[in-house]
Amino acid sequence: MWPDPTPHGAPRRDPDVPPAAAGLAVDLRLTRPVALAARFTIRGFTVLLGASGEGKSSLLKALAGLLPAAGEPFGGLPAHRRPVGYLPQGSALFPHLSVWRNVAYALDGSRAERRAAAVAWLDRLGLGSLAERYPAQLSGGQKQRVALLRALARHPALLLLDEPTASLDAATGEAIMAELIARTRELGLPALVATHDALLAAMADHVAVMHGRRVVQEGAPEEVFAAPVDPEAAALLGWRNLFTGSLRGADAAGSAQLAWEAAGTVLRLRARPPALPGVTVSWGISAGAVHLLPPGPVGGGGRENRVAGEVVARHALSDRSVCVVRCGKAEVMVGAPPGCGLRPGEPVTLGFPAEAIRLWGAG
Amino acid sequence: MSAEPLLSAGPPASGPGLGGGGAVPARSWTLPVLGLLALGFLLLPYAGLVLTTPWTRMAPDAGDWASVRTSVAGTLLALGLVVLGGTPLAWWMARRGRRGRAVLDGLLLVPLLTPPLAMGLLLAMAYGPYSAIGRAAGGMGLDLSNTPAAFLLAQVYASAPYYVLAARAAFEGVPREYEDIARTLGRGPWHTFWHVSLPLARLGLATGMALAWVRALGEFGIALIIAYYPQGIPVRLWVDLQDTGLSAVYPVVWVFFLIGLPLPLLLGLWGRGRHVA
Repeated sequence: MWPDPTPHGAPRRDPDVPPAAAGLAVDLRLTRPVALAARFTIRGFTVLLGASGEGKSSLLKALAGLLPAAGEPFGGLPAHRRPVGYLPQGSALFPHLSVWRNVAYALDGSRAERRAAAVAWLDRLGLGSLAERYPAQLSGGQKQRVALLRALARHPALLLLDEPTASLDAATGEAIMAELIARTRELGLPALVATHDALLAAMADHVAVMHGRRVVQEGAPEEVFAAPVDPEAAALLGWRNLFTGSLRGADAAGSAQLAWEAAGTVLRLRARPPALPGVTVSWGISAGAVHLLPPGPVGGGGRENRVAGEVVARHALSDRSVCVVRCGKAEVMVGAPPGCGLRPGEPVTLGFPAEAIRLWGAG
Repeated sequence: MSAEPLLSAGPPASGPGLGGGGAVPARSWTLPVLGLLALGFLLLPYAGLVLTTPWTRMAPDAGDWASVRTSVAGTLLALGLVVLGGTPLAWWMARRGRRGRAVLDGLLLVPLLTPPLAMGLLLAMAYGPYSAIGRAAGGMGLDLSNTPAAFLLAQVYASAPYYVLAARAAFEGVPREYEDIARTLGRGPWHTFWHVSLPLARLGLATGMALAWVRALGEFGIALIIAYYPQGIPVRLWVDLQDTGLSAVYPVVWVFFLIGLPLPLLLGLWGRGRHVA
């Protein structure tokens, strides 16, 4: 029963291949209101991660047919012929229509038929009791759910969501996202979610990272999070420890070295350096990869680079702590065990495993 | 060296500074009194009408009733024509790009800002018996001066610019996002217009219709030039005043009010809707 009507231009889907595996290739070029080019694949629940102002919303609108763009998918089909469900930022429910009429907006038939279909959709999310209300009487989360149902009622072949959690509090946003993911998986419906929130990206099947007005990296979340393609992508993905350093020649053991001037130390590397000695490069390490050790000897012995530092701040979260440690002039964010009793001012040693240090070419 | 903290948590400095007392202005009677005086001034003529009306000697004659029929029928028809022709124009003006916008807006303001008497003269020049259009219409048996058609013409020209201006503002106030959403929900431009744009613009459209109704009903200057006959209420009032004096106008003035106000009021109520929170 899914997808129901497949209008012209709909991505053809082999019934035996789940959409996550088949993927929908996107290759779009926009000139207005922003010039951008995006080439990536939508696989299952896909997150388009980018800072605000990158043109994510424009890209989504172009996919929905609301902005002119050259390329695929859907060719030059007008918006109302595209098999797409589009949820803009802030739900945009029709304020003059009741909830059930909003959900039934895309449906044809008699009033009774449309109402029955809309209420059936509402009941699936336990919202049947809201049928006669107006959008102004709903909470943010309810609006978002009704907007989702309104888009789903048309049986789209692709769901586009623009910052679906932006107007919601953290808990509601998380619940909505979990629900969205469950719902789209259950329906086998591919979805593209534009967001600047790396946490949403972590929940996805597939992540595309956008900056500089193009998609710079895509892949499964674990791959993308582990190996950002450049420092900007790393920052979007939530890497806090991003620094610069200058490459040095290999040491006696044959390992390349990196002078980290801000901390006044030299780090041994495992990766092949991306440039010749003397060149300044960007480098980073994820907060989870840095080891927090008691004060002790420092230096590049073994596979771990040890650097002395001093605790600046500690943020205690429900399930973990994060320490900010100052090494020279640099501040490093380090994951700490939940019960860690470190206080600002305490000396510590940080361990930077050589293999966890990620280098990017001269920026 | 005294190190003053930048952000002092101490009590606010007393004295005539900004942080002192008097941040909330004292309750003043000046403004309400002035406001009520101005309102009273504006409503004074209505009190005069109520107080001076010779309630026992109100005897509208046949000509009075004919003028009421002419005005009501003409205004209803004119309003229909204005809405029919003005709505697409207003929609187009609201939704077209920025290019040429100022010129288009200026062109719409010309008929709005033309004094009625001058507009009457312009219409006489354009549609009168000696104009090309007038001759052509006359050839087809449609005389465009001092006929019902001329009366309608006067009313349409008097009211259309007001309606279009209000309707354009109303359509501009409809967030385009709703129209975009309707399109992504598989609805074409026509369905979107009827089910989204029009209902969302209805408050402004109702205002425009109410304005147009009052303008068309009360049009005197244009009618005086090109549609002295058939006599509508304004011309009839003027004739009564000239022939008999102020005492003769009371019945028609009251009718004027009774048919002038209800429609705008009803439209206002309709436009507010039940649920626009």
